[in-house]
Amino acid sequence: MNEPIKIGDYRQFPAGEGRKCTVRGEEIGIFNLGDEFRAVSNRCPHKGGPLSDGLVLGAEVICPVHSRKIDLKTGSVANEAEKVKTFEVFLKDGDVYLKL
Amino acid sequence: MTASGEKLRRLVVVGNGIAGTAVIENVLALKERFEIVVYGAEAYVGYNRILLSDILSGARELRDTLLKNGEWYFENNVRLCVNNKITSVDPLKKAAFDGEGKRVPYDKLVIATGSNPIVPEIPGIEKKGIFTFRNIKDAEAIISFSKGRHTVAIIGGGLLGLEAGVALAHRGLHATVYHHGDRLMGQQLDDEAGTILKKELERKGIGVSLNHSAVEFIGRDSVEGIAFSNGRAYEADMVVVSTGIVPNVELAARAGLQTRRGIVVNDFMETSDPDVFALGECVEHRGRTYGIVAPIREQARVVAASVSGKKGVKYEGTVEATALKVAGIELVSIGDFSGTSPGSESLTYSDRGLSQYKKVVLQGNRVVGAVLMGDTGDHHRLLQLVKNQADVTLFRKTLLTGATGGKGDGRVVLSDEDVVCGCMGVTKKTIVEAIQKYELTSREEIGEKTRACTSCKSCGPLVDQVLQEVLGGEFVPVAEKPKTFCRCFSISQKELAAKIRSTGLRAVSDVLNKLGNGVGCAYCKPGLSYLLSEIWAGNHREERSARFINDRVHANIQKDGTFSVVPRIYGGVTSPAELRRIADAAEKYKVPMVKITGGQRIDLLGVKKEALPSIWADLGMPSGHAYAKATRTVKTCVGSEYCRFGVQDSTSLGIKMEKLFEGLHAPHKVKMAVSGCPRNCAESYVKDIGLVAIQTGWEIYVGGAAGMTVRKGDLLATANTDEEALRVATLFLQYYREEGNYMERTYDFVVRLGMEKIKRELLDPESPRPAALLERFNLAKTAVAEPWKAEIEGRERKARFEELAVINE
Repeated sequence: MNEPIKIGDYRQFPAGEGRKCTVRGEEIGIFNLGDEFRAVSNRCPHKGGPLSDGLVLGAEVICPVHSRKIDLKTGSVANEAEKVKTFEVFLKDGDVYLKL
Repeated sequence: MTASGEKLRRLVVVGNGIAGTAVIENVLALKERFEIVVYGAEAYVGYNRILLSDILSGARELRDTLLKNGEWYFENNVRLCVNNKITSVDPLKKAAFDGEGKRVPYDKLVIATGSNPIVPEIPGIEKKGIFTFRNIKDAEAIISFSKGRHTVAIIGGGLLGLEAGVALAHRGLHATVYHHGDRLMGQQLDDEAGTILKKELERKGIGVSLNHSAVEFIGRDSVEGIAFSNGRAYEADMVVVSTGIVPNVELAARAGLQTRRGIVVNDFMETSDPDVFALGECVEHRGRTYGIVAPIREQARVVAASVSGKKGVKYEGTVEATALKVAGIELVSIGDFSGTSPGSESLTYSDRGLSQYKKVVLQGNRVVGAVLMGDTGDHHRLLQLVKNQADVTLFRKTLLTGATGGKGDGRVVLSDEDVVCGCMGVTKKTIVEAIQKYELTSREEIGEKTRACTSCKSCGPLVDQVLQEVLGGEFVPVAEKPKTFCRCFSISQKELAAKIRSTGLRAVSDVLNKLGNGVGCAYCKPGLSYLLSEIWAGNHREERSARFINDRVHANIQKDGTFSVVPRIYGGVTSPAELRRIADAAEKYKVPMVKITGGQRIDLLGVKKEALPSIWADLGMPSGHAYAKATRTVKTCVGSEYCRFGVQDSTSLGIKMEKLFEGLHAPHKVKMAVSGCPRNCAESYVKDIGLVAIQTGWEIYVGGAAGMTVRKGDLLATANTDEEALRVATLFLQYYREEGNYMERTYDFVVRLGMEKIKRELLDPESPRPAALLERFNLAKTAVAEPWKAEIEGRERKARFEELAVINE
């Protein structure tokens, strides 16, 4: 279960944007921050907005539905107690891998 | 229920005015987990009642006085029930009952029912044309009745009565204030100040008759005059009765809670029932009731702490202090200003010629009250002296001359606990901490973090003083600092645009790295995208990551993450074939909702992102740009082609205009309309650009709005031909595209620049502007590409719209 899963070629991830993928029923947003990748559960804890469609600012993403600000490194949501789940994601030989 | 399954306690707030809203703000700030429900008897989101006289005078509209917008309630999960009055409360069963008889159980209840106007029992008071003045409905009724009427009598020379008189005089009515006592504003002013105020009002054309007690309203159906106890009688077309307020204790009294003049509360703002709290004008605390806003802020903080079980914070009463402006004169009244208590002394300075008056009341070595008139620069200093009960022996000689008119130091000595902003109840300590923690440098930033100086703004100089104390020489007072584009830049939009032109930067990331902080924010990234595309007329380097999702996928994101598709239908004129294609596409993609929009277009709602390019291809129609800060639809009426009343061909001109402006982005959305006659069926008067047909051609209105803001557009010009009308509309659009601040709608733009300047720049035959504007408009037009077509044909379609991977192993 804990084996890294290959998601795809890094060129499929435009810099400064998120992309959505579904792994074993879990919707995950993978973000190319330019110098690293980050992955979080794709639904905003507020009202379920798709984070992969949000505007990326540094290492934060702004939910496109009600502008909640989510820290992609820690999963914490600005001014909220709830967090989004974070996942380990890494680049190897030009491919992006995700660990659940 | 929360995610963890815990059942939330329910807090029910009765009353959606300043007090109710302040309690909710404070509870939210404590991060207490409550299910909050607020009831308001009026049909509006809560508004700032203090500004009611501005609505009456026409200086402000309702929208400018709202305490919160609808989004705030939504964002904070506060359920707002407007136009619904809580009619009874059963404290034993911990339930309230609303106007529909529905039971509303609560864990904690807050009563903030405010006060009611006193309606004196004077014969004839039921006649038409007699009003109280306490809420929006009153203001609206007074305004509508005042149309075409000439004289208004105000019964009552208190603060509200005078404000009503001044406001109605401003509307062109001949106003007279009849006051039963021998001094105006007896609650706030002494004899000398009252005399100066009376003279000042009379100079402004407002009549003042003291010692006049009304005994009868005369007239058949509507009021025609008033008889007074001194035997005199005067004519009046309408009457505003403003004889004071009385705490609204009805609900509490019926619930069996202890009431006297107001609802009795202790220092924790508890009523006689430990789960019911009350605050604001409806309460009586230590035998006192208040009719001003400052106590509410202090009380709200205590209520929030008490309902959250953090009992301990106490409310110990407020020094009465009123600062206001009547008929253009500034007035301040603090504490015990009369100077008639045994053992008190008064220091006074009076100049009736200049309408200036100052009085400081001492009790022993302490200042207990003051009245300032005309020059109120000493307001905060004196208020602090009263609050701190400071010994003034050493500077008694300068108490009167102290810090008036900005001469001398003028600084107020503030301790940490001193309240700087009375409206919002913010202490110096809170402001100092916010400045240090967030590195704040301006009033605006402090307002954002602490809400200080966001209501009446009279504490601005005091906030500046705190900034000065904390920042020292680094502080630049607000007036000298131009507004920057956003926090990521230290220069304004105008300077930024000039720098972009001179340095030749063409990508958002380059501008951020070279001229800004390198990261950007949710305002400047999309803002720069617009600015760059505008400056380089499409020859910029597009960075999709700097765009909002709507602009990335050319569709409007909905609450569930699906999108809406609005195809372009020029002028709202369609055909059976086009409708058939839309119907086919809606069926094929199982579109959950097909809706006619407010702008006369067809909206396909609930489309998945992946399906967007194919549905566009099947539709075969251009984008309606319903998602963008760009020119939107041109709404049209039938016009002279079919309508019996139409005087010009509005559909043809509407279609022409929509084609001409199609695809142009702007600082914000631009809604348009063309109406075939002044009946205005296309609602042109309330559009960003609206054309209205007249016998001789067209009127061009700009800056109209009918959203959360409602504003009738200003007439920019009258044109004799279709071509001339389009030329003027084009000039305005391009002018707005170049001079508008990002996210500034035309209704703010025209107010900021002023119609005179806009007319001078665009219409004056001597102005060099039109030729340059038209040239750049044409250049921008050549750069417009149809976004849907470009995506359908584009190579990156898959990466832009489709889910990356679905893995199930």
